[in-house]
Amino acid sequence: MNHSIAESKSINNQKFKNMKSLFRSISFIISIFCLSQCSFQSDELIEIPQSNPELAVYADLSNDNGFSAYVVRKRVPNEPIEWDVNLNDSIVDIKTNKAVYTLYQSTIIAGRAVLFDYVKDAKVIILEDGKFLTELKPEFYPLPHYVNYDKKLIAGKKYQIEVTASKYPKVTGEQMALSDILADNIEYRKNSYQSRDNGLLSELFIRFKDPLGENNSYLTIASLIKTNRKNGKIDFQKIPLYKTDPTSTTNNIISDRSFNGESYNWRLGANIEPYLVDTVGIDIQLEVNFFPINNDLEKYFRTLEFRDANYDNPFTEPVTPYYNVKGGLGIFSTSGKSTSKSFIIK
Amino acid sequence: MQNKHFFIFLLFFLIQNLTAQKNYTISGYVEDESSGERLIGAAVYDSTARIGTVTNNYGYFNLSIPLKPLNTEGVRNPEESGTGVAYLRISYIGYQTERTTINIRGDTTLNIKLSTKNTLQAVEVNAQKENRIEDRVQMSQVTIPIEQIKRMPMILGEADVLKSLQFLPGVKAGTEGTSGIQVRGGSQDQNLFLLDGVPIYNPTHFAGFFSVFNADALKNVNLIKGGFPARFGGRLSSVVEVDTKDGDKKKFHATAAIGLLMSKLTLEGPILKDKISYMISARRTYFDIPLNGVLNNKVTADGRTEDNSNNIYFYDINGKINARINDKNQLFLSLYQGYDVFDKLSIITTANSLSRNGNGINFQNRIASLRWNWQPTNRIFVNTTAYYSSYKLNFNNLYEYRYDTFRLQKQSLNYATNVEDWALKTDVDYLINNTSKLRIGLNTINHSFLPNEIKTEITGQNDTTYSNKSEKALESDGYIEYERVYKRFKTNLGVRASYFQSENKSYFALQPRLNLSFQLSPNTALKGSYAQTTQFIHTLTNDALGLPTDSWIPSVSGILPAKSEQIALGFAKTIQDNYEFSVETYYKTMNNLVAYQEGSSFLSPDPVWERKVVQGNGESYGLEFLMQKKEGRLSGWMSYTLAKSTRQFPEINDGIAYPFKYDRRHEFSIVAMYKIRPNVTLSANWFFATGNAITLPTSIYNIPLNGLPSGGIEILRVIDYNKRNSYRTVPIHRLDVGVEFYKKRKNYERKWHVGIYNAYNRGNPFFFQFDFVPSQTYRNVKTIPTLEQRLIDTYKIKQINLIPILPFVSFEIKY
Repeated sequence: MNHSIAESKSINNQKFKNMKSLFRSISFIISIFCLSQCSFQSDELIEIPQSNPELAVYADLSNDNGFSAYVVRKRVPNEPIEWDVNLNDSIVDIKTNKAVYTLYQSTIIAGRAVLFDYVKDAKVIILEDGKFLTELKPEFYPLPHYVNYDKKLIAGKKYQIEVTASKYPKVTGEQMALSDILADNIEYRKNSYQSRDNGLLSELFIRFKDPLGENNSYLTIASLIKTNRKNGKIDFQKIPLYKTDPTSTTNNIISDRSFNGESYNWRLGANIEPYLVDTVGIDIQLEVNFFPINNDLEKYFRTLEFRDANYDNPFTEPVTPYYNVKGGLGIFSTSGKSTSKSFIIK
Repeated sequence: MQNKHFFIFLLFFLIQNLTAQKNYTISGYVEDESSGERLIGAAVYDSTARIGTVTNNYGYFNLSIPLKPLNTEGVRNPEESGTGVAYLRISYIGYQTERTTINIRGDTTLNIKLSTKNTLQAVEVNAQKENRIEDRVQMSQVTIPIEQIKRMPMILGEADVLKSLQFLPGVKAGTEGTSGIQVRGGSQDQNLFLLDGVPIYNPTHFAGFFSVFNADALKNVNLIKGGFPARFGGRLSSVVEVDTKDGDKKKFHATAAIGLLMSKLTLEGPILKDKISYMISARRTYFDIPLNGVLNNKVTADGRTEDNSNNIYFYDINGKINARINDKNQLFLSLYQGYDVFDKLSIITTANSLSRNGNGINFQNRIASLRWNWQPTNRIFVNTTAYYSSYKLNFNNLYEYRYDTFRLQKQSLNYATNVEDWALKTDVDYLINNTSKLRIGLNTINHSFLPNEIKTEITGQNDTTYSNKSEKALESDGYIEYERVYKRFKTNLGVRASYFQSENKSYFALQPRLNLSFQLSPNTALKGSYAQTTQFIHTLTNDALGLPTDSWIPSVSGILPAKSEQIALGFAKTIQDNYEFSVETYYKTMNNLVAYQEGSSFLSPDPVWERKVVQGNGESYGLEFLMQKKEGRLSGWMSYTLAKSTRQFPEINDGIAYPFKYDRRHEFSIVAMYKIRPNVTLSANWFFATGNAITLPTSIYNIPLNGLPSGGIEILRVIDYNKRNSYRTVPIHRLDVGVEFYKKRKNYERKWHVGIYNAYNRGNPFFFQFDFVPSQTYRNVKTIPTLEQRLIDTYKIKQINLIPILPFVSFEIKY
């Protein structure tokens, strides 16, 4: 069939229009298809530069509990983890009748714990006002650490720690010994306040006088001591304490920032009711321990608590733990004499 | 002392010029011929007297012409007076240049109408010859035509003003895909975003992925990075002026756009033809429809019902009415509301229990302003604005478990922050003579803040409210700005005085400003600027992600106002009438910047919000290149930035200076649009930048929490971090491509915009995750593992790349 030039142009234009229309349709379909195939998130592991080996130290000098220091090494991301095997918890596989061992990542299972990266050849020395005082000896229960129960702190003196181990830089720290600050009164009030949702709950009220001029913090620990009347077996159970005092910085630590040199009545929530089930034939006591600690320790725990609170929280910069040791990581603290009080619960 | 000398210098110039001779004044508006929309930044030039000006944010201009009338041969004769002729040339990007001759018998008022041009045919002939980069005294200023912004390929095809600015030199994008901008080393809160002259506190939607500026409602975007004129204040690092359309004064138009996950509708038209018009533009996403309708809906199995609801969307609405009361008075009423909702709730029900687990972030911006333009004489333009601006954010988290009807466990947290302003301001522009202009202004803002309110409700604890203290503050400013042309030398001198009164402290700041320009040749100029700026309100923000958790806080006792000094030098040249080229170098110091104390975040339950705050300093310097072509068949720009920016806070990073998170040494970008046919435009953006500086975990150790005499040992896994921002992420680069098909029919116009965001699927990091990665099962091991077998698991750091290759398509129709 012959076409005039005008007709040919018209046909070509029509073809071009059809092609454009087709192109648009195809583009649209491909776009939708691609979108449907897209994964909205992809992950890739990244390499980070290796850092130098360092020790991490958690050391506390106390007149009540002795001098103790935990010494571990730090590990870097991408470094394999060595698992310990808890042989005491082996069970039997009923199919093969062979022992099956359980490896633990977490550390409190069935009352036993595993401390990873314990540094066995560490040497921990304590100095008093710059003079050698003692070397802490290794002990392995309940966790491997270094201790001395004989030496006592003298208020106002300066104490230093030196931790050395082969292949690691020396770690040093310095602290003043605290005065003994005893609680004037520790009170347990059962069902003392009305919770909106859970009825009546219990509280601890601890009154004490903070010394003027010293920068202290205070730590409270509460435990249930369960004694079986038949066999005399004693079981300790730590009770979580809660921050009901708005000036508290962590759940069971308070700093004297807002009451330096004044008497203070510290209020803590203690929800012990869930721990009082299945207690037939068991006597129960609540033991409360209150002790002064260094502000450095308070800062350490506070940063760790923030870190925990913000773990996986995309809204915040990573929290760097507070350290007061040089040459490594960790905290060196002193704590004062504790005040203990027991309450018969049942 | 330095400020005092500057002030005396400024007064000297003013006195000298107030005594100058009287000239003719031509004043009026420049507007679009078809819609009556007034044009911002149009150049008006008298080619005989060789003087010119540009229209202001309301399309208004005034030009003072020397008293030199014409004789009978059409030549100016200084002996005669009383009459004259002006040959005006009026030009604006995208419009036909208008030439008009005016017989002047005194001060003259005229409105000039420009018609749009066919870019393909006329651009080379009618390229704008005035108000080019070398003509402007203001340096560090960039404008992008709205049409270019609309054509740039972006996520989901949604044109985004702020993301367009991210391609400019000196402007750094925040986290990949988000709209945050950091200008010359400043943080996001140092940008003054002005929507119709009113500050907007959070310019982003949807966790920062979209900006609040709906391109369909806009007519002008202007960015100033340094050398701020004295009329701007309150922020340290940039001014982003965004002006909405007035609305067509002649006939009704409707524009509807449908995208994959968002739709928009814009209506505009006259209420009273040529006198009163309106514009209303709204958009809403519908992410929630597929999320609730198809994904994660109700699941029932074994008597257990799981109902997941995802209420995730945002909407915003812009409205404007403007009324021309008479030739000398005009009123504008502008409204904006944006609302973002991210609510996720999972309800699991069994025969006798119910658990609810949910979290959400909701935030909203609201703006209302009433502006009154008044021209008492041809030389004076007065704008008075009364406005309201607010930003409110609420974050909540809930876990609840009920057994029968008794609530056994509940944890809930509510975080709220807001800021609210009521303000009044007046700006007066006075044309002294053909070479001098004076601007003065006053403003006062009544701020109200709720910096940080946290309410917790946890089973076993008292319900607690932390830091719900609201703050009030009054901010008052006055400024004087003087612009002068001495042949090839141009200057803009100014000073801004600010007074800030919070509840327990007052602050005063005098901020001198200076812009200089020296024209080396008709097409080239050297420029310099100096600016001191003070910022009395700050945001506490997280650098980790650009999420909307910012808390606005005032300067109070112990929290000082932030101050900045910036000096910049530059070279500007127009090449072949179409290409604007500029090189600028700057040095900027920032003092009293705020940040969260280490260990604090917006959720930290500190009863005193001030305790979360630390103050420090910052420094930045850099070199910026820009080649821009605003119109023509091929348009776009190319930019390169070499920069360094640091922060130093006594309480952060052991007091050692560290890189700002968005300290990127090199950035290069190309934005190009090419009209292959009158109705088909190809567009592409490519961007390359050095990686961000971030903080990563470098080690882990396990340590007992406390060694207790009565048992209860807990071992804590402590993650340790290296120096702040000491790790560099991989370089960031991305290509986006798009094509726009435009068709004009008799009664309507339609546009298809298809494209691909991140065309080669580059994995740019969105955030980093520290994770425990098990490589094999670690329970029920049959035999005691050997040492080699015990090496089984590791901690890893994962880079999460959120935005892969992402096609988009959108359709727009305009009646």
